[in-house]
Amino acid sequence: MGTHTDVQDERITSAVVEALQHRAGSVVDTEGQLDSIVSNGKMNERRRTTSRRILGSVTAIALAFGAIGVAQVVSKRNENLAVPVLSPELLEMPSFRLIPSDGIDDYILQDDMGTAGPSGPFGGFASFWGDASRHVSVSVGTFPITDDLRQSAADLPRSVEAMIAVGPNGSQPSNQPESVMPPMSYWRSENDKFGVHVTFPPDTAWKDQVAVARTIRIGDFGEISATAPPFGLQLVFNGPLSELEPLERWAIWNRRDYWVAAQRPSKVAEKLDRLGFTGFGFAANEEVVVRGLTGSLFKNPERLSWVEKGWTVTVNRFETPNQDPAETKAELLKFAEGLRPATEKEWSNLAQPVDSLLRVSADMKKPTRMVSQTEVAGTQWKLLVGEAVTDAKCVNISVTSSGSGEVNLAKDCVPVSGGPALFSSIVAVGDQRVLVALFNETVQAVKVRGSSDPNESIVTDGLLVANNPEWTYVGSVIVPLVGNDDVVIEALRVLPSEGIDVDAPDVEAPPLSDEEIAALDNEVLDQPPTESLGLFPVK
Amino acid sequence: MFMMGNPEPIPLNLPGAVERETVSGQAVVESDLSVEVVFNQQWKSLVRFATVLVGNATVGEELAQEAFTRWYVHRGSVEYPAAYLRSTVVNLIRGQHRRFKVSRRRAYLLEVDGDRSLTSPHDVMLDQIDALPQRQRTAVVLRFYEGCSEAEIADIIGCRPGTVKSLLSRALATLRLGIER
Repeated sequence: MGTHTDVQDERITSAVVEALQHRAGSVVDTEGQLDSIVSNGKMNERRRTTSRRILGSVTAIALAFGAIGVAQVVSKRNENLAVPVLSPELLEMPSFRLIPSDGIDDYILQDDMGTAGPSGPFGGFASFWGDASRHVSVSVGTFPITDDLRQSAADLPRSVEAMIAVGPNGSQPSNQPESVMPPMSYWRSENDKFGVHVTFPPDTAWKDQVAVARTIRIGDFGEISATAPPFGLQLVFNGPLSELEPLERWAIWNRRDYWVAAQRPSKVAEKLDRLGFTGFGFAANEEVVVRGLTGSLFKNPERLSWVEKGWTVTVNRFETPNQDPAETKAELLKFAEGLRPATEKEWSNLAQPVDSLLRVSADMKKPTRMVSQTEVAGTQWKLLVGEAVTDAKCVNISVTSSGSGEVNLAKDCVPVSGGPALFSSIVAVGDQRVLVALFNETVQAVKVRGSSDPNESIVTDGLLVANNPEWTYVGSVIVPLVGNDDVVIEALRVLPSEGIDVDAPDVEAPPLSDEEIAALDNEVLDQPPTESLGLFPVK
Repeated sequence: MFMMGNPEPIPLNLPGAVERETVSGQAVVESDLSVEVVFNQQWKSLVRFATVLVGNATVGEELAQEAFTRWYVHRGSVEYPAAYLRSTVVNLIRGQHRRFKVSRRRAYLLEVDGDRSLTSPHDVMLDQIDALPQRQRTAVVLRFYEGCSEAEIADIIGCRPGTVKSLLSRALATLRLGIER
C-alpha cells in the first residue's frame, strides 16, 4: 500500500508535471547579473563584518566602563535583530558637513543618529529603523522656526534629500503653532542622498543654533540599530533621585552640539523590562538617567553644569574610527568633572521645554485604552492598537500574541523587540502625526488608518514593503491631528512565525478583492527599489 | 511508480564537482568551485524553479538574483549550493508570500484583460496549482518539477518528511477535485 503521495491517479500527476514543465518552458533564459550578485554580496559581507566589529568594540568599551547593562542591551539587540549596526559607508563619511546659508552662520552639526522622541533617548533611536533601501522614518518634533531658517532649509544642497526638524523631546510649544515647521520636511534629490537631523534648541538663540546633519545614503539607516546609535563610550554616574528634584520630570537641554535628557529610572527600567533586557543598571534605586549624545559634547563640559553631581549620567560618545580610546576616556572624565548643580537661572532657562515635557510625561502615564482589536482569522497573532492621546502627542500600540499573553511592544513609543512587532511608534506633533511601524515577518501586511474624523477620512494606508524577508516596514503616515485622532492599525495578513507546528494547515490570506488589487497599483511594490517611497511631502 | 509520466528530474548537481549533488546531499566537493561556475550552472534552472513556483518570470528572476546574493555571502559555509539556493528561494517566497500572491493574481488579470484564453489544460492546472497554499504548492513544484524526494523537500521547506507526505496528499486531492469539476 502506498503512501499518501503515491497517488493512484496518474492522470493528475502527469497533468501537474506537464503544466509545470509548460510554465518552465515559457521562461526566457536570461544571463543573470553575476556582477551585481558579487557586488551586492561583497557589500553585504562588509556590512556583516563591520557591524560585528563595531558591535564588539562598543560592547567591550561599555563593559570596560562598567556599563554592563548597556553592553547587554547592545549585544542583545544585535542578537535579536541580527542586523548590522553601522554600515562601512557611514563610518567612512566625513564627520560633519557644513551647510552654508544666508543669515545663519553658526551651524552646529549633529552627530547623533537618533532623535528624542516622546519617550526620551530610547524612543528616538528606532526612528531610523526600516527597510534598508527604501525609506527613512524618524521620530520628530518641531520647534518654532522663522522664515530665514525655513529658507536655509530650502537652500540645502541638492544632495540633501531630507531635513528633519527635531525639537526637544519631540515636543512642540503650544503657544506658537503658527510658526511650526512641518515635523518632517523632505527634500528629495536626484540622487539617493538625504540629510537628517536639524535641531532647534529650546532657547531664544535657537536661530543661531541650527544643526544639519551630514548627508547619508538612503539605506544606511536601515543598518543602524534601534538601540545602538553610534555609541562609543558610556559613563554612568549613580546617585539618588532626591538630589534631582528639578529633573524628576523630563528635562532636555538642547544646546548647539548635544542634548541631554533626564528621565526617571523607573521608566527606563520599565522599558528595558519590556524589551527583555536584564541587568541594566538603572533600576536598582531612584536614579535619573542623563544621556548626552554626540558631537563635540566634551569640548564644552561646562554646558552641562546644570546637571547635578550624583545623578546617573550616561554619556554616549561617538567614537570616530581612528580615535584613541584613551583619549576618549580622558574626554569623558573631563566631562564628568565639569558637572555641577544647576543654578536657578539655568533652571529658569529650561522652564519652557520642561513644562512642555511634563505634560507629555504625565499623559503618557495614562493606561492604554484599546480602541481597536483586529484578530486575523486563522492566524496566530492579533494586533491591537491603543489610544491616541492627543495631549501627550503619542500613541501607544500594543501587539498581542495569542497564547503568549499580551506584550506591550510599543508603549510610550519605545523601540521594541520580540514578538511580532519590532518597533512601532506614533509621534504626534503639531497638526500632524507620524506613524512608524515596523514588524517582523510574522506580520505580512498592516493597514494603517488614521482618522481625523470619526466618520470618514481614511487618510492613508500603510505600506507593505516585503523586500526584506526578515523585517517588514509597514507604514509611515502623516495624519492630521484634529478632533478624534484615533489611529487604527489592522493586520491584513499575519503569518505564523517559525516554530509553529509545521503540520498545521496552511493558512492563506483571503483573496484580494478587485478593489484591493486596484488599490495596490500605486503601491510601493511596483516601484523600483531605488526609488523613494514618497512617504513624505516632497518639496 | 509515483513519478510515472514525469520527465527526468532536473538534477541539482554541479558539473565539475566530484560527485553529483542532490538536495539531501551526498558529499559533493564544491569548495573549489568558483562563484562563476556555480552561477553558470545554477542560474537558469533556479530562475525556472522560482518562476514555476511564483508564476511570474520577472519575480522568478528577482528571487534567483537575491538567492544568489545571499549564497554569495554565505558560500563559505554552504556545502550544497543548489540546495541552498532553492531553499533560499522558498524562504524568500515564504517571507513575501502576499506580495507574490498579488503578483500572480495580477498577472492573471492582465491575461484576462488581454483576452488571452485560459482554457488550455496547462493553464487550468497551473491556475489550480497557484491557488494551492504556499507550502503545498512548494511541495508540488519540488516533487513534480524538480523531482525531489520527500526527504529533500522536507529539507528545503523545513519540515518533517511526514509533513511533506501530508502536503502532497492534500495538494493532489485538491487538484484532483479541481480536475473533476
